Amino acid sequence: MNLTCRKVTELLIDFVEGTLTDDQQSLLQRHLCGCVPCAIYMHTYHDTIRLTHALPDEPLPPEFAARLKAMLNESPARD
Amino acid sequence: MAEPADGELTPERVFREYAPRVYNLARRMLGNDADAEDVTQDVLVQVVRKLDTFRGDAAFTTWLHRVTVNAALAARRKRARRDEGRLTDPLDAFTEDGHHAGFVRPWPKLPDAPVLDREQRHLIENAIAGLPEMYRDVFVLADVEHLPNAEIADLLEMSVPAVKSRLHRARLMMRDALSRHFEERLS
Repeated sequence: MNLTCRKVTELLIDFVEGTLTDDQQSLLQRHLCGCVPCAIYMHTYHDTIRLTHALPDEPLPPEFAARLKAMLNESPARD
Repeated sequence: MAEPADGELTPERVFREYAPRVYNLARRMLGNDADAEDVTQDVLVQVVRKLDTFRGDAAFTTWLHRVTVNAALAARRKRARRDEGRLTDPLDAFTEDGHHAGFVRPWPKLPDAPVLDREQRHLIENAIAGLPEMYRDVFVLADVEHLPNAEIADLLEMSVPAVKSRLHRARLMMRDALSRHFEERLS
């Protein structure tokens, strides 16, 4: 049985999570060896995850930070 | 979010260590700075009022995620804004016999530990904001906050397979959105 490119795309999340069965893994690898578009697609899917993982938190807007800090310091005692 | 280190949680420490995380999670879920500020304020007031409860408690960040996600979802319901301009499902971009319908172009090679410049951060934030809400929530919790699928399922009251299905589609949509930028870099 050969996988279609669509099926390969559907399996990418399990490939990334390492939850493919041995048979699925083998079929996927065979397809990727012979299909340049799918090999590129898989790399860019993985790069999408890596780029998002690298996304830093933005600092609080300064005015909001000042307001929030003042509010928390004045906040009534705990329940 | 990291678990609190040893020591007492004070309002100052909550502000310093957790306000940016709460704010960024809310901002990415809501796609709106003003709404994110309201949510952050509400959440941190709740946190400060319950500091004694969570002193040294390993469940603190789990609880903080839950309170933040619930506050963001409530803000969204209040706003009652519907998704605008639904994105094309990337799994429709195949021919009837299952081949890619268009060209698939490579991106420039990324370093092992990519450090994003301002333009790239802006690009990714905009792509996240452009996701339909049902996909955006799962994507932010999984790929930005790094929560496991089971915890996301619990937070959003969904099954784990539903989380995986939405996460996968969100990643495909993100890939398509980022492709427009990165493919140009090679052309």
